[in-house]
Amino acid sequence: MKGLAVSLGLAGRNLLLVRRVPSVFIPSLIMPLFILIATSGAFHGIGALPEFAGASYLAFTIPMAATMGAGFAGINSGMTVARDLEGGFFDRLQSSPAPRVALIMGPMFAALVRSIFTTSIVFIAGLIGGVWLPGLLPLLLIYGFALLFGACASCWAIGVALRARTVQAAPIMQLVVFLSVFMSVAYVPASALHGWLGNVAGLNPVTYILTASRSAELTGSIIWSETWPGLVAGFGLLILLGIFALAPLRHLENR
Amino acid sequence: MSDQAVETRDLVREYKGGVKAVDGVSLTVESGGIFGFLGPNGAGKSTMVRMLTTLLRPTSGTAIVAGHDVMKEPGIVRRRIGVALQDAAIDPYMTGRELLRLQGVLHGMKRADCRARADVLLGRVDLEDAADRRVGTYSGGMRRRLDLALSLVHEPVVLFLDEPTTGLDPVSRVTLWDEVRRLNVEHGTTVFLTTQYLEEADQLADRVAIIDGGLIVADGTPKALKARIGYPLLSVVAADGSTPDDVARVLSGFGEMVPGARDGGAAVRLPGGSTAMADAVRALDDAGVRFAEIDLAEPTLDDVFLASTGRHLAGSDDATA
Repeated sequence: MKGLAVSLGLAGRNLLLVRRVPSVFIPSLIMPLFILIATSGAFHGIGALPEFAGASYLAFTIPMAATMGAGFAGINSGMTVARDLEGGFFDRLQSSPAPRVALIMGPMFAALVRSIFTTSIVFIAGLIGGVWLPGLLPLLLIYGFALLFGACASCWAIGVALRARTVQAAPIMQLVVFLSVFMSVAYVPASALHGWLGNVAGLNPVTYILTASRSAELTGSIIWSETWPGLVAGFGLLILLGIFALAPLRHLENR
Repeated sequence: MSDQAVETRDLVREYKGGVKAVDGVSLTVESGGIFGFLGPNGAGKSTMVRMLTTLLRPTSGTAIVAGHDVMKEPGIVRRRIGVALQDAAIDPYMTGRELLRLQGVLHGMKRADCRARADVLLGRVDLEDAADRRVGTYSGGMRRRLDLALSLVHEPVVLFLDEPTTGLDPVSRVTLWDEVRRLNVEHGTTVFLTTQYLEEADQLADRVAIIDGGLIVADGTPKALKARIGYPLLSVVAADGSTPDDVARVLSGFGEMVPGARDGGAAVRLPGGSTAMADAVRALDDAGVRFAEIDLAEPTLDDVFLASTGRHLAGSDDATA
């Protein structure tokens, strides 16, 4: 309970900073919107391919934009940790008796709250573009997958921050998250991906997250055979990246 | 709690490349006092504090703080200590009140207790009016006072202050000293204070250890350390028509000469103190030696540092000015 209280306290602080420093928040809000609009606009024509089975390309892109928005929120949590390490605030956290895991959970909780916000913005943009909400359960599932990816991105970014201890590590946080989305089924279904990109996408856990999320968006229902691989991939990735984020906490005192 | 607030034995911290920031420090700090850890920049003070506050793992040796081993029981140590590090680790985007409440949460306090404690501490460090302003707008002195308040949220038994007045103006410095004294006297909190200012150690500390190059070079009460140096120092600067050698020839009859202590003149340790000073002036006059300046100085901690290391403490002029 104490760990949860500390995590929530730290999450509150991170969200407070979002409000006080809009220059940090606004780009991560605009980017998923930009991706949604630019991608659906630029590639609108490929929606006519038979692999899309007549689906709206805007609807096809919504899960990707929501996932990317959550990824940005996750990256931002890592950048906050890096800033705290550089500025000395992390010393304050580290010298307190707070459970070490709470030092990671706090920023991650803040990333999840932000992910809910950015995903909602993406859905509102979709509504404006004529894509109706897919129904309550599919909608919750899309939110859930966005949050799952946000948590993964957060663990990745925090793990990098704790190792590099500088904001200058931000590009590596961003690059890996971008690549993980772009080298998946972000723009076209798996059946349309050929060659090395198809092979990489097949091995990429984000492919399964996006496929499950997209299935809920496009069908308006939850198709279990497309959902469970996404859950396995998402939670598997979260466990691995959780270990990646937690491991350096054991060695902070050695630096 | 044991009578020792801090006890270290052969504590070593070696960084990559083999640099030993702390090289086998053994010291004991009694509970209830103010302990001054004095040394120049890079002497190993902050590294020592970081080890004692569980922020840095010692390479070897042991450290017991508030009765608990910093390596074996870091969680318990963290609950019993307060820390204000050299660079006030304060988030500029938060208000003083928010930071104090968050600090309470970090220490597992209930929400209502956090609020009440924040109010009490804001009053104590005289920041009530600025409590709801972002810390980024605070002056250096206000930030230090807030940092001190933050370190007191959970009422620690041992408080570590790492160069708490560095960069502060004289008024802010004295205000902080008063608060540290009050904390020690009224609450019995043991204070472990690092400083590079001689005056600060002299004014505040019951006991002082001087560190240089990662080693303790002197340790004791300020009075005992100064007494170890010996007698007051009489310095005389030669005036036109006389030379430093003329001055030295006369003064050498009054005690042990201190070479290099005074440019353009000479200095001697006077066993007779101020009484002997009058005799020295008469002797200079009788010998026809003219002098431009004369002063008698009691031994300072800088003299202790000089005697222990062969050089003056950097920044000592700044501190005592």
